[in-house]
Amino acid sequence: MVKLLGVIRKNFKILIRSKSSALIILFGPLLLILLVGTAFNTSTFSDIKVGSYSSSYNDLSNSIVDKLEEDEYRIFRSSSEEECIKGVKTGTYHLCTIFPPDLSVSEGNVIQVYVDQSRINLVFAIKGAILDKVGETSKELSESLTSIVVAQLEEASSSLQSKKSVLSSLKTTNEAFTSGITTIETELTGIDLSADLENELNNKTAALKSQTNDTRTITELEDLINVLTLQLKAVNIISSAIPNLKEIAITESSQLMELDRASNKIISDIDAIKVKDVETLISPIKTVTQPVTTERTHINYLFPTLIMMVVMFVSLLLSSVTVIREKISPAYFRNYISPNKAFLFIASTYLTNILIIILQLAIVFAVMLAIQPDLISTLMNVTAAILIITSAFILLGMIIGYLFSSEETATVGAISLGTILLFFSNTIIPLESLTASIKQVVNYNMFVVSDTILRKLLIFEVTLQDVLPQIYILLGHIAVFIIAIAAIYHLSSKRYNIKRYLKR
Amino acid sequence: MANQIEVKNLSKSFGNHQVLKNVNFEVPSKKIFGIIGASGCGKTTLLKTLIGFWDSDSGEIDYETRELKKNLKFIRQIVGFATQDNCVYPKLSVKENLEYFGTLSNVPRATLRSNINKVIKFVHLEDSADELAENLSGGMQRRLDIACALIHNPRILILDEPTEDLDPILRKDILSLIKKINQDDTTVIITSHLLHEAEQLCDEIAILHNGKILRRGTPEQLRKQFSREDEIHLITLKKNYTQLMKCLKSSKIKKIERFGNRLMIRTTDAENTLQKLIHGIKKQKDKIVQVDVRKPSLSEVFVSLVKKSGETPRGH
Repeated sequence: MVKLLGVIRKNFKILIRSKSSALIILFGPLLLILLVGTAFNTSTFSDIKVGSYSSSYNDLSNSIVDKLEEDEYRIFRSSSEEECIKGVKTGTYHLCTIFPPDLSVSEGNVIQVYVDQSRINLVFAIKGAILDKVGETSKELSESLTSIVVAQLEEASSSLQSKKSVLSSLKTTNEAFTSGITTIETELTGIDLSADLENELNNKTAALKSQTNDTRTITELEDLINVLTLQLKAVNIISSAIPNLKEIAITESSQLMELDRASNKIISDIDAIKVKDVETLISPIKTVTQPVTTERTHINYLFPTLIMMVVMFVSLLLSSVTVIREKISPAYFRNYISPNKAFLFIASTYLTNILIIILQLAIVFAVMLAIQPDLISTLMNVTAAILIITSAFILLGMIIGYLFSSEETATVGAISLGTILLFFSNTIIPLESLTASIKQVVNYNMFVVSDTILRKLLIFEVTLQDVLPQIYILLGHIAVFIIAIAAIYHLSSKRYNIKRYLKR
Repeated sequence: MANQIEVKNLSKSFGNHQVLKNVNFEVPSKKIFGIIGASGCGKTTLLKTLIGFWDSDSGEIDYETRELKKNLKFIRQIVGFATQDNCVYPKLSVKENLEYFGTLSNVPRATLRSNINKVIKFVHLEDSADELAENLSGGMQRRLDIACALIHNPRILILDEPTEDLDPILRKDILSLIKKINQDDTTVIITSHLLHEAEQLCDEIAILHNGKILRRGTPEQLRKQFSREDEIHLITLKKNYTQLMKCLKSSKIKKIERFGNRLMIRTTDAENTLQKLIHGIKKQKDKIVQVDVRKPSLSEVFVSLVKKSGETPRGH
């Protein structure tokens, strides 16, 4: 233990006394976190330049442009479509929107958005935001058109409702008419209009005329018979017309019934439309992106990745440089021939590195706690996780240190390895865009695994239990690295000395 | 104990290159044992194999009758080693270096402080005890390196070319320091390609050439063994040697050469040559200022041995 502490103390003294090492390795990451923290302490994008072109702007296209300007996007109206697209290519604009001339609500009106796909993350974020803004205007238009339709419908319904009494009165009149006709018909049925009453009266009058000379009375009788005959003829005509009238009345009655049913159906159909709210009609299913945590600034979301990047690069660089400096130090040989096991030097290198990184992270977390005191609840879990994560990266860095034979090559090796791990992670491009086979391998990428652990612990505030699968993966890495270091240590020390021997 | 270290049939190769070939020697206790040879002859490899840094391909190394491979920890505890590279941390002070290596060598904390002070005094670094090693001069760094090798009071001190890259004054310093260490009953093994140094310092010498020990013995034994010639070094008052050189011509005179004010005559008959010289000087009415008869230097023994072996030194 005394020896271990002695070696660690020596390592610290050497690191601190080497000004460049102290500056780059100890304070560099802290400075980086401070700068990034300050820079990303916002929840919006700033200084986004949007090129816009339309051969003929109108109120609609202008309103979309205005909406974008309201959201602090900087709009540049280009003089031509080519210039606008070229602006994206040259980086003058982040994206370019081309409006059709006199944008209106009709078919074939397409707003084209040109983006620089090489800036993957930015494109996803801005394209979404711009399309949201265009969508807002489109929604407003839909709302206005739909509200007209809904209003017309409601007006038709109320109009029909109000005219229903007229229809009802018509129906009643028709019913009374039909009933009257029926009564007349019934009454007429009792009159035998078929009998030849006129001839019989004429025969009787002729018989009476032969029996009496009262011509005056007979003339009066004959006049009465004529009148009666005329009236009978009229009744006969009426009687023959009644079935026709009755049929018309019945037809009208059924038509009125049909009209009533139709108007009732229209009214009930209009009434049956449950959703008359315009907003609901234009977007019956709404999607709202809800954060699973409370809304925070970019730095809160970036914090786990940022910590991971610092941990990864500092661990890899620090441990590889510490090992290589020790290895190329003339004093290394004296260590090697001292009556000690290799474990002492490997363990002391590991402990020195982990102490430095923990010290750095303690400062970073202290700052974060000052900004966001609720982080304290996850601090214990995060500390345990970081110990495991840092150990894995330090051991990997130590392997690099033992494998390479100069500080320069070890540094390049460490940075390259870190870059590869970073590249195959969610930080640059979503892992979902990788092929299935590569994604399967990448799932074991230490950076991805560690980032997942920290993200879950810091953002979703889960327990260590919830990240056990990831922790097991890291512990697996650690076991492999320890075996590798044990195998490489003797080999690399002697190999390095052979090289020096051969150089002499 | 007569021999503190015994090396038997030691061989070591790197790939196809055999650096040590069946090396055998013994190091007597409390003596200064020199291994001399040209650069690249395998001196450093031999020392690194002696302390168990390199595993030998074959052969055996015994320290105080204990076999190296089986007693590595014990042997490293009784051996101190200083290379020609100054194995110290430049960013640590003299004291810190000593404290660190003392701790690594299991020196108890109670005695470490006194050991540090003693060693610092021993190597004359008292005034620079708190200086960073990187700020020390070359000679001071070499003394610090030796101090680090001595911090755990080793019974055997192995020094790999300790005077390499040092100016003559610093070299003298280091040589007197080594003698001082040996006077404290520490066995010293030293390698050097500076043969006159080894000749001055060592009680016993082994000549290593192309991985083989060509000869070993005391410097005197080696000189006697390999040269029947003597060297007469003469300085006269007038320093006019032309006539003397003419009168000395005979088959027993192997070489006559003037080095500045001095005349060197190598001969197989020193007595007769001296008589001739005195006669000649009297004849010239000159006076002898200094005359010295000695055996040839170790360098000449070395050259003679190398020539005999028929192999050119590696790197020469």
